[in-house]
Amino acid sequence: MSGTAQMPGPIAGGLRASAVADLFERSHAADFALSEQEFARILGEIAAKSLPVGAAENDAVAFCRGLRLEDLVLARACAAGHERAWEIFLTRYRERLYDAARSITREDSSARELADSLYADLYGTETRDGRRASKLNYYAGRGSLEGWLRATLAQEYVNRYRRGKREVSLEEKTEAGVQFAAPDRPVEPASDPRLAQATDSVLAALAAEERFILASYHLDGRTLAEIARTLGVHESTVSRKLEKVVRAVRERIMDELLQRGMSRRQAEEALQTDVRDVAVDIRGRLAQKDAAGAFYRKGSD
Amino acid sequence: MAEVPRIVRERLRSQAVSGEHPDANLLTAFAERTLSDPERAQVLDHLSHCADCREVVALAAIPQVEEEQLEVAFVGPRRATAAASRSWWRSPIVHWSALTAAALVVLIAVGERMRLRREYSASAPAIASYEAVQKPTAAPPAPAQPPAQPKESEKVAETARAPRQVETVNRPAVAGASSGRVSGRSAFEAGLAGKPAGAAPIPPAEANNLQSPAASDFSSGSTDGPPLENQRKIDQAQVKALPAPSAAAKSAPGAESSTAVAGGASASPARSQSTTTTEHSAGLARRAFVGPRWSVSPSGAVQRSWDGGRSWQQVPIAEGVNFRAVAVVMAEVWAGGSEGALFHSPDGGAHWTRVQVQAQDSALTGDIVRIELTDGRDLAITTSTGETWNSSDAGATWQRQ
Repeated sequence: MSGTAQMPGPIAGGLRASAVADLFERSHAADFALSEQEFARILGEIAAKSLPVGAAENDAVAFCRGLRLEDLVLARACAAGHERAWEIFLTRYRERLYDAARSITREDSSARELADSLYADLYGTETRDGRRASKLNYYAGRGSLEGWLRATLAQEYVNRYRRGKREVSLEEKTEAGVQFAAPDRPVEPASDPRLAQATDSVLAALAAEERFILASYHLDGRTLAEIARTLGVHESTVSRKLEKVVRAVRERIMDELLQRGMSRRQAEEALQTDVRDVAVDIRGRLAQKDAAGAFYRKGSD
Repeated sequence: MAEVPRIVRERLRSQAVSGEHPDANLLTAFAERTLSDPERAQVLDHLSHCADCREVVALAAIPQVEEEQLEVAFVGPRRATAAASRSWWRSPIVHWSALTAAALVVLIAVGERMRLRREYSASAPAIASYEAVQKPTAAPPAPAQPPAQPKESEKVAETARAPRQVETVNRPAVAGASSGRVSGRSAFEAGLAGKPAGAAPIPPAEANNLQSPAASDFSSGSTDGPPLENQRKIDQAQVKALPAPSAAAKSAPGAESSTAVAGGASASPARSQSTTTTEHSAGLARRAFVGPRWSVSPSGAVQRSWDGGRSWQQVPIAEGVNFRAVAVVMAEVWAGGSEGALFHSPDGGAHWTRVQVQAQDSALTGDIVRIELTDGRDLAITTSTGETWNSSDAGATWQRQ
């Protein structure tokens, strides 16, 4: 093993050989017969994508140390067709991947299909320049390998299955009992263009996190707990921020509308909650908790 | 939660997504919070506009239930109940009830302590007379005569006495690592550290003596031998068995007198009560055991985490073995790996023994890739060559399926 491997890429002057050797040792790449030169090449490739051109060497070393080196080496060894790496990968991730697919699709057969299609991509069914093109070559060690596999599964699901769901047959819809479901309501243009302009202006001025919380909760229907876990904060923090941003958005739109020449009454009417947006649980309201209670009982009085 | 105006939802939905979608690497790093601040800000900005990427992040997240199950699978059924009941536990009614119950417990404890103090004061002359009788024959180091009104410093000593006495009495009854499992890592390791040096160090006869009424009943005034002398021998034997900190506490000034006073004043009812209490504590200790997490690193090393998986420490077992599976039940740890290497630790990873997996006419081939451990004795291992081996006697004998 040569100790002179240098990391190519955007780092000014490259990464010193001692740093590469240290990272190489940390990664246990030798267990999978990965050479130090190949390891340095992989690091250089990842750094080129993530670091700005001309990044300082210390930043590059810190960046590389922050990578999941062991996962990275395992993934690249699998991509290179290392048998033992595949054994480890399958032992460690096969069941987890099926579990992840089940949690995404919430249905067994789709989950297996989704996971199997990913396995095929990970193994590399297509060849490029005489070599199998494994999807594992795209793993960069920025997060855990398991997290990357989950994200890749989710992307695959969003790309393929959700689009497929929009084209289900009438029979399937009938089985699902949704054949008479009303179509999505088309977005109606705002009656007054000033309302849309004011809203766009206010939304554009929001911080990314505020907009994320607002969209996740009110558009995607995520729960406060889900949003909190994504952002890594407490649920109560999300709740507080959401309350604050909803109030602020309403007030700022009102101000914008006033500035654009609307009267206060017009602005208030424009922002009133549309009765069609109020989620009313009709079934729940109509259902009687005590069926007998609604009827007159003889002799009860 | 306050509703947003309909126009806000419409305009949010119709926002244009700018730039390329972040790849799975960035989304994973975002979810795992390993991105640098500028990168995180960029990804968050994209997510705030892109419903597809938000959905990917949400779908890729480990579901809450799964996380709880993972936690439950690790900590056992006691914590499982806690996890399942987390929702009702948040109820303010429960909080107030718990507060009230805690206040009641404190009141009862204070009342009980006052009562014990009165009894203690009342029995002090009797102890003094007993020791006066015993002094010429047994000649124990004269314990301090308990005054009718204990001073403040002695009150503190009295308070500190109870747990130490509990440990002294109970240690032989729960001899083994389980006694050290209550208070997390340090207690666990302390217990393990004590085990090899004094594994079952109390001879059965002395252990029996400890639990026999004759040894504990100081008030019987037996003439066969000075009971205080018997008790001292037992205590000395226990001190040898105890880990260093307990032994040090035992030899602290005043410890001898406090033992004598405790034995003499409380007599047999107190002793039996303390034994019951300690057995109960030991039972709780066993049930409340929360051990480390175990896993195998990508490099094939067995590793252990004491903080729920946030950080891992490698556990050195054997050189040149690439481990591929690890299984744990309480302090029983089994690890297997390349070329059929199988190791067993009965004490939570402190000591390891290599176990040969073979039957009369065959031996295991390939790497061990899976270990299933149903209890401390029944285990099944699977190899990379597809073999399955079972043992029902903790690895002493094996059957190939």
